[in-house]
Amino acid sequence: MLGYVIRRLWHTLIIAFAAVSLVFVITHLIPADPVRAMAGPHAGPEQVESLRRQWGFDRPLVDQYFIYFRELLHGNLGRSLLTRRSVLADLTDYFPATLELSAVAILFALALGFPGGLMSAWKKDKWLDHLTRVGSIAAVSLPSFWLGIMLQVLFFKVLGLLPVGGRLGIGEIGPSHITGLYVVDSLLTGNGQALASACLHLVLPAFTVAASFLAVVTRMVRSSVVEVLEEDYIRTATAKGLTFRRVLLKHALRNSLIPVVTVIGLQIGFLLGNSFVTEIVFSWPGIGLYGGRAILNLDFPAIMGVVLLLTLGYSLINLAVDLIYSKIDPRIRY
Amino acid sequence: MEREEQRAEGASRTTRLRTLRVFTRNRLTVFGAAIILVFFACALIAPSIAPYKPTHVVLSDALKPPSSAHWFGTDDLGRDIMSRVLHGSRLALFEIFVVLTLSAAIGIPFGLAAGFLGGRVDEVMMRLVDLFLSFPTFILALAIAAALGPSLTHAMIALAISWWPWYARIARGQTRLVKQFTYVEAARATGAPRTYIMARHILPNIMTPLIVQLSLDAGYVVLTSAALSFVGLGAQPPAPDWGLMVAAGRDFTLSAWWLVLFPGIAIALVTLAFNLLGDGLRDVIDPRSARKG
Repeated sequence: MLGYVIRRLWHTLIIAFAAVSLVFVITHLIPADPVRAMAGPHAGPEQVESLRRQWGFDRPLVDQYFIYFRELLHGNLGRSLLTRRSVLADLTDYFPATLELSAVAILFALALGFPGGLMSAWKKDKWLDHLTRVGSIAAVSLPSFWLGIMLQVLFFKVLGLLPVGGRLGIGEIGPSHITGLYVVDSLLTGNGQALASACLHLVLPAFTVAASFLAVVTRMVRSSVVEVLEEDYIRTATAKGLTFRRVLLKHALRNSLIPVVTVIGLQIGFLLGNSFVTEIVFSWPGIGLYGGRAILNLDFPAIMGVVLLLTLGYSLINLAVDLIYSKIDPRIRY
Repeated sequence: MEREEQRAEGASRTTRLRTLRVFTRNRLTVFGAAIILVFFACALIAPSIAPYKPTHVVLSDALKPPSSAHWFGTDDLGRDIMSRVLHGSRLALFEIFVVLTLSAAIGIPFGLAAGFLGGRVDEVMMRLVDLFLSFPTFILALAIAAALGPSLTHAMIALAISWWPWYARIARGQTRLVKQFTYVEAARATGAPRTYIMARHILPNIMTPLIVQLSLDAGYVVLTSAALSFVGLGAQPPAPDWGLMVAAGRDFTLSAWWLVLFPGIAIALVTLAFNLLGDGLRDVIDPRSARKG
């Protein structure tokens, strides 16, 4: 088990290294000039050249590559061309917002998807089942950025129920910084007002991120439970007089978890993509908003930092999913 | 001899009919296929059915809500949204065609060669595929498109680079299955060159699952390239690209919802249609998955 985890962590590092190398090579081979972009339209050629020297863009590509990795090994991700701060400090500031959004979105998807899938399997081929199936295919097809905007129109403009974006209202002061997760921090500090505001601000973006994920979870739980319900041990359980509800919850659900967990692992990538564009729609100050701004301004160090963080996050989540397997199904050993 | 041929022909007709029946029994699949037909038709005849030119600016008509003159309303530059959505279908079809052709052209030969050659070569080639698959597709496409700079061509290249490994993986799995069959062995025994066996005997027999995957992916190409355009990395103004239209309309959503509503519906409908079609095709090919639903 421990050996397996170490091997996987080692793979994760190799993948992260390859990802950063890939992005490094592409960003430095293209004709776009980040220094020119940073200097602004009015800078003269001397100013641009001095900026280029200052930021190290005048060195040969191979040198730049080795310098980047040497600094990376010392925990230095370089300086953002846009914010002029260390990329690591920027990522530390923006990451908790993304973490909070993704975590709440996953909770949403699981909390609604499991009962939905179970109900659908229970009422197989009834109208509720058909409705769930059509709904989940439709939800997978919705562009998340569009869904977000439409929810803003409905819940902010028409109904006036929920805020339009951001993590807190304008002028509101956040809870004192402990974890950077507003919900957790306001709970820890007993700040009821911030808690309510943070929760209200989370509803629309979290639902937008969760929508397609929720659809996939629902579908997977359904088909997995439907399949397990045909097994012999389910017939035995029913035959010995257990109620259908008990059979469903006690016997069928647990045994149908493996494919569901697999899909959850695979979907995390889509979830990250969704949260990237959703953050832009809701002005959610997370990695997506930061990365989006970096992309539009050719802020290469920041882009590489974001890619590194997302790749590491994705690989670690998948490792966690693989470890959860052995908890659900004791037959799986690493 | 002749009778046998007739019988074989009759049998294949029965198979075809059964396939068609399985296909049309599912009303959702038929619905998906119908939307795709409409989508193709729109792309084909957009210039003749669109009431206005997609880039025709009439500032005095800016931000007009849907009316009989402009069924979907007008945008902030007074351009007719319906005409832009109709013309957008051409761009979407073009994106689907380019991205899927590029990904298939890289992925299928790659996977085929890995599966056929086996051994150390297979090992190395598939590690490379795993490397690409270890990034979320959208994030990889985003990173590459960002690195290449904003343009539709770059976005399509970025999507193809992040997509081909999926085809490589399927092609490899199928090849390993097919290469054990007797006819491949027979071809090998006759001394046919390896490239000939791969192209003539294996490729045609691994295409079925790949076609299903391609039809499922067509929808995701539309969805993902719209997302790239939305971030600012895809098509550039004034192209009538659906994702770009949603992005441009975002500043006006709270006062003029129609700017965002219609292009978004177009993206969702086309994606949905290809999903339904792909599901239907898979049910025909793999009846087991149809029962599970």
